[in-house]
Amino acid sequence: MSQRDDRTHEVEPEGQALLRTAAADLRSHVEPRWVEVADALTSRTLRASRPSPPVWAQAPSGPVRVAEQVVVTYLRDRLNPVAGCEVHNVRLEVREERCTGVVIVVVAQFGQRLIPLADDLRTRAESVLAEVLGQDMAPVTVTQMHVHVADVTPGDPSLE
Amino acid sequence: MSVAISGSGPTAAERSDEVLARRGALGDREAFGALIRRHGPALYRYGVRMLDGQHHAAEDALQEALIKAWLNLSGFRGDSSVKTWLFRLMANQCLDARRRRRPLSLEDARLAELPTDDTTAADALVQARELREALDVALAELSWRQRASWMLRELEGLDYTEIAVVLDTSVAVVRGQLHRARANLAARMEMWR
Repeated sequence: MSQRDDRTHEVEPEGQALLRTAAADLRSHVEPRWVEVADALTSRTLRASRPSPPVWAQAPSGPVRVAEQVVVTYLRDRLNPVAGCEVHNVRLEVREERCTGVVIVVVAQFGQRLIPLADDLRTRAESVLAEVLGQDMAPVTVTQMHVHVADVTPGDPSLE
Repeated sequence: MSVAISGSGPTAAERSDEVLARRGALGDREAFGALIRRHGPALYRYGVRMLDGQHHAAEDALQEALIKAWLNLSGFRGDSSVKTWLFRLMANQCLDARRRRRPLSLEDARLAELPTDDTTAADALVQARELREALDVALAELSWRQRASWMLRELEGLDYTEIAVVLDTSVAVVRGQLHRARANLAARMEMWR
């Protein structure tokens, strides 16, 4: 302990010592009521749906509209397991409710070969779009699909 | 060329706040649920004390703050930490809840909760609880900004700049509020002794 700390301790009123002890106790204290309400608060929160504009898709029964968020979710789930990168953002380009392009922003791990990574992500994304929007929709090809590397991390980008 | 696919990856609890927020912004409910489990207890503790021990009001405020966070995650740009952003949402909800209700005076009953000099609790746990309760009473006597500044600094470990973001004020104001809060609380705790 430094000399300054010793001096502080000598002149410290007991109120401050009690305050420090009480604060330390409160810091580690979890409200018992939290344990009771946590699940309900969480599930009510996650039931709230985000507004999402529609895009046309081709179902076997004919054209249907699906929320953009559905497409984004499929892309996220299919692309995130690719080792050495983490999806940062997915943006659909939509014109008159038709998907005309996709921008996929990723964070890559340092040392990752970016061009093969981008090619792989593009191929996977194309397959997801065909699956979700239907083969008969206007194809979103490599030329309308951009993979942008926004950041590079030294460690696993899915953790940090 | 084919790129490797990860096997059974890390759990949500192992991921940083930033990764969880990023995944949540893309609609990953599990990731946002992990953020709630990580920061929920502290947000709730903050709400309970900022709303004078009213648990139901704190639950309502937290519910609103969490829904706002979930709906607006895609707008979170990372200008502050995820924790600071969540506390800012919670602080605003608490402030709204406080404005909506009639001002409360400190009840005599709460003052009576303060242990008196004849308290000779041998049990350390009991003493710790009593000390914490005394601190709660002392906190309830502080002004809104003093109480919020002290809690965010001493309990949640936010720095002055982060507290200023949460409370939408300046670092100089936070410094002044903290100084007064510490002095007031120490004086109150001295009385408890």
